[in-house]
Amino acid sequence: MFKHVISELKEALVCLEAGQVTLKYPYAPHSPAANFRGKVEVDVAHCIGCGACANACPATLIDIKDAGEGRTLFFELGRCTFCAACRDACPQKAITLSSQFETATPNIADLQIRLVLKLVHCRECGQVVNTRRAVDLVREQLGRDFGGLAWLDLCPDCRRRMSLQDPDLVLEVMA
Amino acid sequence: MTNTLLDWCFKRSIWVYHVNAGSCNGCDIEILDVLTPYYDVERFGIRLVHTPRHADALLVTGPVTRQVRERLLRLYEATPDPKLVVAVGSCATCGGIWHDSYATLGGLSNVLPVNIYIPGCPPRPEAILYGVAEALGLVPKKVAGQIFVEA
Amino acid sequence: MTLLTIADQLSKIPGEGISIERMDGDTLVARVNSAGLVATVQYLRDRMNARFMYSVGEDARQQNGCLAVNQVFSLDRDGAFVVLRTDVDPADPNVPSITSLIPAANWHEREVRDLIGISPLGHPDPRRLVLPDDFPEGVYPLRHDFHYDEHPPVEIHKVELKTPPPGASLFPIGPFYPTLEEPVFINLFVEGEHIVGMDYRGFYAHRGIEKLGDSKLTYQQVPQIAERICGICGFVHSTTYCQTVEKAAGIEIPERARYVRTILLELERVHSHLLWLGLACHFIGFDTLFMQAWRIREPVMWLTEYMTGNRKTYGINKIGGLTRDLPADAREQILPVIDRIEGQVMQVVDAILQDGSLAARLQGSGILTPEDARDYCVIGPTARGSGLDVDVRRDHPFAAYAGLDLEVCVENGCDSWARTMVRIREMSVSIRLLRQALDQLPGGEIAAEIDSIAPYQVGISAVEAPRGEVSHYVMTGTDQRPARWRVRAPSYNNLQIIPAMLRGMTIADAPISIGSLDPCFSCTERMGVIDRSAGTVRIYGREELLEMSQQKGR
Repeated sequence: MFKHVISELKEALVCLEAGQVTLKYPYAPHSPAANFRGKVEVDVAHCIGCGACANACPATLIDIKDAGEGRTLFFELGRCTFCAACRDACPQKAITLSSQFETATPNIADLQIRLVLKLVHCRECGQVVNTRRAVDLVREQLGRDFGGLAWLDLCPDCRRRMSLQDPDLVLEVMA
Repeated sequence: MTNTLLDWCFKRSIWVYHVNAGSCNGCDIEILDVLTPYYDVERFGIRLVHTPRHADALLVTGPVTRQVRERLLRLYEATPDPKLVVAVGSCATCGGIWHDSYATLGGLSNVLPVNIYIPGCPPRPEAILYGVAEALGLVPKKVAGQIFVEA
Repeated sequence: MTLLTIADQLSKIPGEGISIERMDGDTLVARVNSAGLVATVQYLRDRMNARFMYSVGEDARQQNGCLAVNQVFSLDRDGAFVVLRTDVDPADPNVPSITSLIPAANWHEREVRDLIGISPLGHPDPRRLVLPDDFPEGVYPLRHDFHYDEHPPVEIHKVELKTPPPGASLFPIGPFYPTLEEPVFINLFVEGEHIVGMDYRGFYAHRGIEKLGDSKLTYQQVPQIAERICGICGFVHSTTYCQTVEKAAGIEIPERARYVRTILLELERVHSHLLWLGLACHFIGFDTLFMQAWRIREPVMWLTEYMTGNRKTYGINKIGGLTRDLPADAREQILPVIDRIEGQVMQVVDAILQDGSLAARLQGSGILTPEDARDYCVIGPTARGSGLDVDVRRDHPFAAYAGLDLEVCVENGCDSWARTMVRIREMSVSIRLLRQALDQLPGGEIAAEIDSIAPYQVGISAVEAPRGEVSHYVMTGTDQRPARWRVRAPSYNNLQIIPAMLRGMTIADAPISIGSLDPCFSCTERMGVIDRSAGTVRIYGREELLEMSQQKGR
């Protein structure tokens, strides 16, 4: 009986020593550290629509569809597991995981990102070559070392076929 | 007048019933964490109850596995009106990493009407606090969808 | 014993031939045909002191036209894994049951039948275990011709739960119940206040994880889903998976990666045991201690969020090592936190050791005899509380444990109190291990370069989770993902002990006794279930249960 009283006093002491520890949140911020993996942000200026993020995402929340003139990248971020595989895969560093964790909403659409990027179609057969931004990126990176780059708006099949028919096309690349 | 008074009372003291609809338990532990001293959700009058019949809000975690679906529906019916349904975690919000598994139903909104979604894997206790406060109209929504169409 | 000695011993088993298929590192795979399986298992159990770990059903038809069952054993004293692999003809898929020899195999064999379609002949309880009551017969989700997002039609094959014996009443619990964090349905058979038997219907948290791992995700995506198997032992599962594939593919990871994994595993153990302590006190109504235990635990969550970017899903494991390094000041951040926790835990333990009410609820209840513990191959603190000296960190060293000074905490009380003491002592041991690991933490690379992974390699690895031994099995595949990935969490074996443990106890003691096993239903239930529309199970709240119980007694 006496031991029981002692133990209760000790337990009370534990509580008293701890005191009041309650954080002031939400009346004051309690922000996470710099490497916190919060809400996905896409820098639309840098995205080239390559789809590396869609391949990497284990939750398959990134959907990419080509239709008409545009490639639509649709991010269903309500499903996001904040693993950062998309950020690690993006060659353009267009994806970051912010510190934002106050993401509650009554509306799923608030957690969606939809990007529509212009497509380049093959001038011979009309197939999709890539997004205009991706083609421009290649042009910009190769333009320093190569001559004409008119073959950039051909799809790979047409490119092969035409370079057999038209040696100048090959010379263009070699110039 | 009575409605205003009831609204005021409702916002002051929400009793919450927590349901695991097939989650990994991560969100459930963070929900329990919100009761503990550092976060102390009871200072807002919110407490966990042990039966849906006393609940004002259901906090549901998990993608809703097919096994649990019917029991979840019965639990929803057993909860008296008015009630809030809160989807806690990415699984409940939109099905999570197994949204297209044959075992799961792709998120809570496919089974119950949802009042608010709190994404996270798992959401921080602060995020859960924020979400519940937002459901009660005490804090503003901070997220919005993004649409960009290249010209 | 080395693998060669083990192989030599196995070759001496009389009767049907057993052929050694492969020996690699610490894993020996032997081919046994159906006729020789039972005799071989008996030999392993009786003459070689092998501990049954789990069964793995496999659809190996792309490899050799057969299905297969693997029985995985551990030779703890030799640090070896022995796999008995039996090919099964898909036209007549069955193997002899080993449950009469090894009671722990009960669930494993039923799961293999449910998911791969290999029937255990002579099984004492051949009911469905894992698939829901309305899943059609003859459809086996883990076969490769079943697509992971298929939805077979509803077909009722109800699992009949056992009825109470004469004179006893039924006391159903769940699937949603105040002391259960996860849904599970338990039928208790009671006479007055005392439990005379029970039956269990679980597997409510199926999400189709193993199927997604071998059909949808790639090798490096699987750690993400592995980390979400369980809400506490996330890092345990992603580490075990990575270790398993690293073994199968012969990948050596850098030493720094080994140490970082060890550090995070031990941090997980500390916060998990504190979580358990708090919950256990909550079950018996001791909410003060629940709050204090979780208050003490919280700084670990902040620490892991600081170090990895998330409180619980650390996301830093990949095959080959780590995706990201710890921050440069990790050591300076960790040491003060664990020092403080050590002091606070000692203070709390000192206070509760003499607490009469706690002792009254935990001592002498939830008795698990060493014999039952061995028969059901229980592991972790559940086993160590009944005198069984098993710990993966010592028996099958992994990560950086071989270089650390580990104490395995064993108690002989066999009751809930003994299991409590094991976990309390383990917290101190974990903190000591953390200090050692931080002292020894080397610099250098965090990940090895990986070429493509060859197909049809077998890997088995185990990690000591807070709840016991987690083990994964991987058979590598041909398309940059596992051909088979099996997850066995400790609760899978430990839960089977509940009927034996509950017999004779009062209803009031049932939740804390089950709780003293620290069960994790999410870890156990990772297989897919399909549409269940035929529910006859009601959801009972606490008040209803009490009322029902009282009404039955009138």
